[in-house]
Amino acid sequence: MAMFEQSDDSVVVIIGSGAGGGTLGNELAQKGVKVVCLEAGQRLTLADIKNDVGEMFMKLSWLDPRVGTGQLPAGLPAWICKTVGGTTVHWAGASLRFQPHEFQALTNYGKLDGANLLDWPLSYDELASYYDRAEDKMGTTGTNGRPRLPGNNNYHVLAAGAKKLGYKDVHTGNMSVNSEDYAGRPKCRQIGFCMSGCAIGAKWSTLYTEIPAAEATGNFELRPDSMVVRINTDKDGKVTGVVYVDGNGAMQEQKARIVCVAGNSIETPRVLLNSTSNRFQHGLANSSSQVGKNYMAHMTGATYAIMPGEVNMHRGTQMAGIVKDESVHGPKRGFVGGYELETIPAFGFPGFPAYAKPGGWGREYADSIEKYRNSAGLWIVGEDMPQETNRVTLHPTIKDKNGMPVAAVHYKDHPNDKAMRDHAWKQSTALYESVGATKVYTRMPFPSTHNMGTCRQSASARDGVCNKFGQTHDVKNLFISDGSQFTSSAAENPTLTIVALAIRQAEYIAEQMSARSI
Amino acid sequence: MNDDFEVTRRQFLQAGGNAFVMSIILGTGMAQLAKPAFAGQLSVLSDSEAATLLAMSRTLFPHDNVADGYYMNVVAAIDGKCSDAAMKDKIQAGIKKLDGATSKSFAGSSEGTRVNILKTMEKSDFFQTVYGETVNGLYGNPEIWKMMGYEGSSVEQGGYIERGFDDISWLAKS
Repeated sequence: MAMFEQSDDSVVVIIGSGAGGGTLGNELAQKGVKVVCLEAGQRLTLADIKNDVGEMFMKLSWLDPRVGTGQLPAGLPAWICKTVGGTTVHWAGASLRFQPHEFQALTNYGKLDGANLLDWPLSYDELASYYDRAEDKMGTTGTNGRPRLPGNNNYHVLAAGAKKLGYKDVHTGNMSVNSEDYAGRPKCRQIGFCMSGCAIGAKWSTLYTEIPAAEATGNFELRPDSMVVRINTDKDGKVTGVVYVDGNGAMQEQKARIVCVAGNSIETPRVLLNSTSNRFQHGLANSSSQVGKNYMAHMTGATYAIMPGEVNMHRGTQMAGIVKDESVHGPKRGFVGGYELETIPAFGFPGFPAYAKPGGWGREYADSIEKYRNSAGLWIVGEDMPQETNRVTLHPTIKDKNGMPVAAVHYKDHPNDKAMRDHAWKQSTALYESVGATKVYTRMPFPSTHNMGTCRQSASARDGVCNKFGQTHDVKNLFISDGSQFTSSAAENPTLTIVALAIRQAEYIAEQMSARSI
Repeated sequence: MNDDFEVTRRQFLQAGGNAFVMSIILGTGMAQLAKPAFAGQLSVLSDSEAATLLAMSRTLFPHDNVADGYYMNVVAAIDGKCSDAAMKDKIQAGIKKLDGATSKSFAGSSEGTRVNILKTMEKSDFFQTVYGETVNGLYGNPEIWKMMGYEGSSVEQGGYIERGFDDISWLAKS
């Protein structure tokens, strides 16, 4: 494995090792570009991954203090990861392409009160070939001849109900969970703990794909336990390196030719906002004032149902089941954009009683818990509206142990989000009732696992933070390399698009470096 | 670290701003902590206070086929946390309120009466604390998982690929 000097200002520094950072790092390393990847979390191996929801939550999650306001849980506004591989260790594997119309949200949906809609500067057609490459990299099922996964019991309930309702586009999805051995990783054994980490590596995660592949090139150095607190610039406004706190709590500086930020949509704006200087008084790359704004988390929710017979929803690939019919843009339903229905189990015990009906108690509820075996569940994920007031800021007084202001995250539904959720709850209730549900529980979102939009792409430097390659409008050698660059959220789970954008960005960076433009 | 924030964060974790996350955070290790306990082994609470908490825990989640011992584990865990003075005050004041709400003891009242009393206290810190402890202590116990049908870790058994991931029998598969 390569080791680079901290004074080596020829390297590309990547902050974060998840879907964005891990992929970008490998793609660059394969092209011969020298990369130092700084990851705040520690490095686990497959042996550290247990089928224990609580233990893995504590091992993987970002539990450093953050403050949630609006409708977010105050102490844990988002459920994302602090570990090598980032949230690709925790994700369920759903790998859906955004739809062409979703890249032109403003054009197709029109102006909505309170929504800060904008078209992406990038079209579906420009991204299509990178989606192909992302799917091949990740072994996504149902693409390029790869078979879909078999459906588990929870899927069969979803599918039977969906068909009764007349839905047509129902299957086990496009999953980056192997349906057959692929790329040196085994096929899924239907273990059922995907979101606690896949113990056999059947699910794609940068932890055991991109990162070791990058290391094998000799061009890539991963530094775990390295928390970046600021990005330095010179008098010309170019990025020169980053300051980070190492595993021993000591401040270090790594010089860089280029810095790419992929800390997830909360930490990415946090580090930019914390990197003030005379030239960048309101944070780095923030001449538009859009850094931290338009924080999107998807319109989400869940529906659980007690069915007439056993389901054992914890068995099998957790999210291999989808109804896509409602993901179209059909404003006659009373909202713009669309949503997906995806299978989800309870997060084990005691998760199920605590969240099927949060705060629920009493005999009727206890009877429902006794029918756990018969429970089926789905997750609702749909497009949410970007709003300037939904944003990540630096908390004015609270600091973390490194003296860095913690992220304050504010989020409230747009009326469009509420209308969409109500529709999804109604449809999913009807879906389960059509196959005999005796009791249905609808519930509000869990702490967000999808985080997008806080450093968005825009055609004009006035409207956003970066261009269609993720390169910031204000600083040529600074890139946004995660879901922060999303201009709108679309209805689909974000990871595949993050990976496709990272592959594309790596090409652009390598070209620009060869041309000595940056 | 700002003290006010730490307090808010702790309150959130205890009071269940989001019951799901709370249960996951607090749930870790709870199953291991919940060793069989008996009233005689209580370190802070009296037998009669423990009986009131036991009745509350059972009223929140009444499973007639689950023996008292499982609920006693919850009470023992709360008792253990009462070494903290603020916790002790909160729990003892709450118990007093429960017992004062009826002419009989809370534990000696009918289920209907107990439910009505608890309904008036749902928002209180005391209620939320006992609620969280019950969810974690009761449903965090692997023996309860078995009774309720949750099967726990599967990787060491090769997952469910050959053990019924798609064995649904009551539904015509589509």
